[in-house]
Amino acid sequence: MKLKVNFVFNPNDLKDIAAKVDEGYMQQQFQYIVDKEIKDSISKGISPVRGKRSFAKYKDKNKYPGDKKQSNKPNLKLTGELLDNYTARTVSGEIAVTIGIHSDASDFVKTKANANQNGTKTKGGEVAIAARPFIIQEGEEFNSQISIAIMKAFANVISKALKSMKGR
Amino acid sequence: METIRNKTTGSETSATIDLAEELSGVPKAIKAEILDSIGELLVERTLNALASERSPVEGHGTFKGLSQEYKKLKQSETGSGKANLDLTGSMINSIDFNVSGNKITIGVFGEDAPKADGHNNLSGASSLPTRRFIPEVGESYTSDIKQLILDEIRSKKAENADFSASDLNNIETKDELYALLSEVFGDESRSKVKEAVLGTAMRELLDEFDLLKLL
Repeated sequence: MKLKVNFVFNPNDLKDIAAKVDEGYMQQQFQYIVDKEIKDSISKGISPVRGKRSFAKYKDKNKYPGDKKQSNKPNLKLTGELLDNYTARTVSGEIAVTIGIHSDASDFVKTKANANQNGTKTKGGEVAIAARPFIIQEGEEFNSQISIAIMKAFANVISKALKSMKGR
Repeated sequence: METIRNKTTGSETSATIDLAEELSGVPKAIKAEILDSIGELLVERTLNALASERSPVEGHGTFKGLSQEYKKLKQSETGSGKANLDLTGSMINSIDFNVSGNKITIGVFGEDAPKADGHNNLSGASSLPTRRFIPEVGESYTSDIKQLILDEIRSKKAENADFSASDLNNIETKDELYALLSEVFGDESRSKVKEAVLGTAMRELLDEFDLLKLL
């Protein structure tokens, strides 16, 4: 016997929807953006941060060990460890994600991230490592292509949660 | 969004693009912000296309490879033999835009402008293989870039939408909600409107009035 029941769909606020968000789906949606949009931009020597445009070139590509840097176009990838730690994580109970190098990364990775993000100077005050902003900071936005992908990902995640509420 | 004017001087190689059609119905108060975002988007997408050795301009496709001789020279200086128009970085770092009315002028400004015309051949005087990254009069950007521009406009409209409590309190049906939203989004499809609402802070406004269920 089949019983047809109509449920009342009445979300009081976004917290109700947040509770219905499929966190695995959400993480997958945003990690895809990190891998396909953000890291792709970085690999081309272009900052994913709006308005920052091209990264400063390496002064001397030949100073890197072996033949690891074959071009003077920076892609922040010497061993790959820094970008391996660039991830998206969901925030439990909220419709929110954090994107970047997280606090549980190794000190080595965090130091490296900070040096690339903000640059470093020699004792004499000269630029040692040029700033190559690759993570958004407060008040900043990702570039248009990434921001639009993020907008669409949020819409997908919330839409899926709304559907699951309608069907409960 | 067609290119209506080119300029090729010693200090500017540029295209002026008219966005009046795309911006129709956009409130004056946010027009400047939207145009600024679109200008930045065009610079970003141009840099991205160049890094992939292809044109951001419709119909120009992938760039012709470098001559063997020049490729060798570029390889030794930069480590890359790609036809990405990036030897010293000076020319591509000079790609910029400015906004006037409903128009954006994008191009290379400053001493690298003649070099940019050499690659784009907007003046018709260049003997180099054309690697166009600034559209000529009558040309426009590739369809993926045009789509991004429409997405950007929709997202800015959503972020800046301003409804009164009385407007929202009176909504009871899906049709009423989409009729109200059409005041912001014009005749966009419902799926695009829903995406813009749920993907931006506008969802919080609608949620306050318990209207998300109607999307």
